[in-house]
Amino acid sequence: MEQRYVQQFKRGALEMILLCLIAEKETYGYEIITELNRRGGGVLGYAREGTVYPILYRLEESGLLGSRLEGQQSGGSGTRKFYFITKKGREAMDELILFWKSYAECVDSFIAVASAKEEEK
Amino acid sequence: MKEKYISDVNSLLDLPKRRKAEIIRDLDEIFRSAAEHGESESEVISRLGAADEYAQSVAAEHEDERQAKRRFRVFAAVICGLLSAVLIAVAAAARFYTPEGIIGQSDSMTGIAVLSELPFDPVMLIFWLGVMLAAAAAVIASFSVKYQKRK
Repeated sequence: MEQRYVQQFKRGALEMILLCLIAEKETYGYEIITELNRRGGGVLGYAREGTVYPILYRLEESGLLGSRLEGQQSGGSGTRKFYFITKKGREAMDELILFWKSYAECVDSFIAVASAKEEEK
Repeated sequence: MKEKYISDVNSLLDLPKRRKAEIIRDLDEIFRSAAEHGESESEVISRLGAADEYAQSVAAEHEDERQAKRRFRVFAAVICGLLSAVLIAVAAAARFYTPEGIIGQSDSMTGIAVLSELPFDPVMLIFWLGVMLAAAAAVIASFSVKYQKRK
């Protein structure tokens, strides 16, 4: 299987998946990684901190996620950063989900034609 | 083990200070959360990858910030260098400048001294400012070299 084509797929929906996950409830890094791998690891491959955390930063910077630090006030070690979805984030998530559905329909239609042709042979 | 890993990653990251602090804080949280869930430090490290691998993958996600920081560094070094060159040139010119229309010279040492109104020699001040800026430019440039080497 051509790994690099699959790679695009795996990476492609990660922002949306993270938004959906965090929309369920406020959560923190370790829990996010654990859940991602528990629910999607088989298909998406192992979700690495080095890949996921930067996406979380970007989502936060875009205002789609918010965060709060629990623990020592200084924000130094001993803190736990909780991420939550913002109103803007929910709107973005809804839009992404809508797009995903139409995207899937579109791709499915191409597959249907190709599969039908395959069966004809 | 955890301390060394985190400090290794810290030294390999060429990113703006705030971003670096965020990443290091997250790393620390990763180890602590893992420990809470019964994972050992070595398990975490094998999951994260070697320090340079982790630093690489995280830095790759912030490539635009890294480039911005490097560009700023280059800009700062160039400005310091240019200013330094200008100041040293001005100092040299002032020192060696011979006014036009001088009516005579002396071939031997004389006791004539030009008294400045200031308690210090402004030309030397300009010169040393220029030298300091050159040093600053060199220090700034050395940071780029430092991160290049560490890659």
